[in-house]
Amino acid sequence: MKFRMIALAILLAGTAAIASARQVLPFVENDYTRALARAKADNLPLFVDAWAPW
Amino acid sequence: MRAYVFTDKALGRYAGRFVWLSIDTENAANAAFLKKYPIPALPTMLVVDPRQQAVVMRYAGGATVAQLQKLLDDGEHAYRARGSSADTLLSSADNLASEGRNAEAVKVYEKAIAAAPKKWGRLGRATESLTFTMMLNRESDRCATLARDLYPRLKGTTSGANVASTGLSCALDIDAQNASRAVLVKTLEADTRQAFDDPRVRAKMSGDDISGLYDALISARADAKDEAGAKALREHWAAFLEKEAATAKTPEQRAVYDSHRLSAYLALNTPEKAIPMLEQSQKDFPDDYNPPARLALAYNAMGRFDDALAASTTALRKAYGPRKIGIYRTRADIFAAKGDKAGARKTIEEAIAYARTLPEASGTTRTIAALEKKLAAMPQ
Repeated sequence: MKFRMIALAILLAGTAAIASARQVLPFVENDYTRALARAKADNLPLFVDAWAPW
Repeated sequence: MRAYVFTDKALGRYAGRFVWLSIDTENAANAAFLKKYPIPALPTMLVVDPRQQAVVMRYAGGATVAQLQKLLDDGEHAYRARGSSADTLLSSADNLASEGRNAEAVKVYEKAIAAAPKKWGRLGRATESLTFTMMLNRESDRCATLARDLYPRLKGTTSGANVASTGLSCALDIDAQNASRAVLVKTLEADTRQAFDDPRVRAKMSGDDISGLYDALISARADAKDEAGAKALREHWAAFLEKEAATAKTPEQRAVYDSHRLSAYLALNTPEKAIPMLEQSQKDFPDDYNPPARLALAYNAMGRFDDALAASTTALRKAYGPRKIGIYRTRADIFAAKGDKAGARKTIEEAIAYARTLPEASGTTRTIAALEKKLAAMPQ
């Protein structure tokens, strides 16, 4: 579970930013309100991947 | 995760079972989300029950495809609330942790582990989350003690490896005057080493995670003042990372190792080795601020200050969010190394002005205070 502490990870931490890597799972990008409404309507749990281009 | 995991076709069967949300923690559009669910480490994965907006599963850290499948199964299980009492307690602890209520979360994780049936399939995750939350709470002694006590039950698993290495990091943070420190460091270094040397465990870990084990083991050798041992491990680490990067199937996968490799090269005092890979990443990902930000660090370590400043200018142009402050800090360091005191001061002033434009959810109050302190200590 290698994780990066936000407070400590200034420049060295992380994985690269990849915007194109999302074909398999239909991610909603950066819109909690919309994703939450959809999860409620579809009666499904909401999976959240919190990341940053580090 | 994005380069290696979310693209895997094996996850296709989960596509219709969740609504999928990606949150870039640097993006100001996510300020409200981050206020509600503070994210202390990256990546963090959550499963939220949309009816109460309650987190039912939370995991801080990356995962392989197999690990993610288990997390998704766990999350679905928790959402349907069909578990044992240990499962329910684990879910409650995850929810408390997701609200930043870490002291309460620690107590409930402990209860979940105490209530666990024999061969509980979630003992590994519960222990990982508990040690991590204790680390956040700066309860280093308790974190290391717990890791030492539970590692034998998790031996041979990836969770065991993570618990040992997190425990080792905690042990190294214990106050030097504390009598328990030496024995905890020694035991947890041996445990981490055992996981590191176990081919069954390594086969199940991502390259990223194995890199984390190197990190903890190198810190332990440095702490023991074993410079030769630390150097040998750093060299081994760099060679491992180069091999992983060489077998990457896409530029995205190769670039995952840039940050680790730069750390290794800086630690080995061979920053020049980082230049070709970073220049390649800069070409492959022209919009990404990471390659020029890392080039600035490498050039600075090489004493090529003008190249470092040029790379830093490029990085600042592309960067956004709280991360940009780190780039300003490096820039100030470059000016200082160059002997340009006025440039260093001006850069920190710019960083403060920029930090004031960020939403409060990014923890900017503390950042601004730290920058102001730095500025006050700088020569005129």
